[in-house]
Amino acid sequence: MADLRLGLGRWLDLPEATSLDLPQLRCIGNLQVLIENHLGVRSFKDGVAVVATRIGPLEIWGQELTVGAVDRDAILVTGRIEGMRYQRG
Amino acid sequence: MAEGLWLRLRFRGPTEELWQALATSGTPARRIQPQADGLVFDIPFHGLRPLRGQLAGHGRLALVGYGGWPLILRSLRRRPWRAAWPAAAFLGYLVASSFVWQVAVVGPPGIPKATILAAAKEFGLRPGVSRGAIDPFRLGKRIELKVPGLIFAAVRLDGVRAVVYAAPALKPPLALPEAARGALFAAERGYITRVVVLRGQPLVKAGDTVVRGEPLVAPNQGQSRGEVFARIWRRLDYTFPQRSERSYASGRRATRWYISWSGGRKWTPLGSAEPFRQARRATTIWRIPLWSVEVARYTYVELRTLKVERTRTYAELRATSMALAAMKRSMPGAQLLSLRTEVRRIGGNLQAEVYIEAETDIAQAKAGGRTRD
Repeated sequence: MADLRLGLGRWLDLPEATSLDLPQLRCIGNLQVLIENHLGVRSFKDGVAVVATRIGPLEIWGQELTVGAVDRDAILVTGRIEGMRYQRG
Repeated sequence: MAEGLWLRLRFRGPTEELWQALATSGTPARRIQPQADGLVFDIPFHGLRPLRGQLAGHGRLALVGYGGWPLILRSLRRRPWRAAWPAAAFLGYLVASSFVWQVAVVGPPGIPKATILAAAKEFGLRPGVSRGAIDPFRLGKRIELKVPGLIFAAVRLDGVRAVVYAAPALKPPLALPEAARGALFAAERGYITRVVVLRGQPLVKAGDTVVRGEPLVAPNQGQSRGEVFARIWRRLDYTFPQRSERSYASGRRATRWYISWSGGRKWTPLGSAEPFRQARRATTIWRIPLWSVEVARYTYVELRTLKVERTRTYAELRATSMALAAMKRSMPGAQLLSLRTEVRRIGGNLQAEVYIEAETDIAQAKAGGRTRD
């Protein structure tokens, strides 16, 4: 299914992030990370924020983490980010 | 969201429910910080209701702060000139409502309304006059005294409308028939509040107004008896000089001796430089009537002059005290209903006007004194 959508997107000359509905991450150093195209926050405690995405939960950890903003389109996580990784979905 | 009114909330409960509620309701949240038992976050004011709906039964929300501008104020902040018209209208309302724009007279038929309005105009109550320049109590009393045939007048300011409430005095009959001898008559004008007739036929009832000399109780056989209580009004004027001098005894005394004989008197020196101005007592010590010789002693008391500067408070208290004493003398047994004292400074004097409203028995036999059982 993903291959079909990827092929359709390439045929229509669409960006892969759009055609595959993948999450997009924009980082500003280790201070902020903006996660677009998310599926909501799964958990947020003990310095670890887990954001659900289509390709699996995205785990962000660091110090003084704060979810600066959350709405339907994007989640902004601020603080001193030490690492990010996708968990196995 | 930062430009609108926002709320800072604390959520206690399973955070998964909150994340689900935020996602379902579409409420944007900011500054989300984890707590030991939940989360603290900001949401716009309009997002509170849908969020609470989604969280029904799952966890608890508590308000911990708020900020921002409400929507209408946010709009005004961007376009402050929009507030100019409402502000001007409000200012106009404030100015307009501080004036009297209508003067009306309320009273029973037959009352001389035009005369009352003319009197009110003469004393300053007319459309366009400032509300603050009107003293309703004083104005009512002035109208009452000015307009003949009135027993009562009061002014009430009702918004921009001034209403003069007036009650006419009933005219007494010109003459009573011979058979009416023994009736009770009104000692003064008033507003009847209670009628207690022991003997005779009452001619008035509570709520009537009477003038001095009006018959109150007609006799059946012999002298009628009873009490007719009425509310009466009196104005008493007192004038106090603002500055005066008063002598008082300082307590110091001095003694002076003299010896008198036929054709002469010799004084001893006073023995003091103080102005002992008044002799209070002379004591004869020794007298020989045959030779008309007398030795006597005078005791002088020092009187000092005290300059008194009277204040408005003094005049008010003194006038009130004098008015109450006068009322007690002239109307024993009267019940005081209200009293008001006004003091004005006229020339070098303090003029006090005391208005008294009291309830008393006004029934009296015309030929004799007051009739009381």
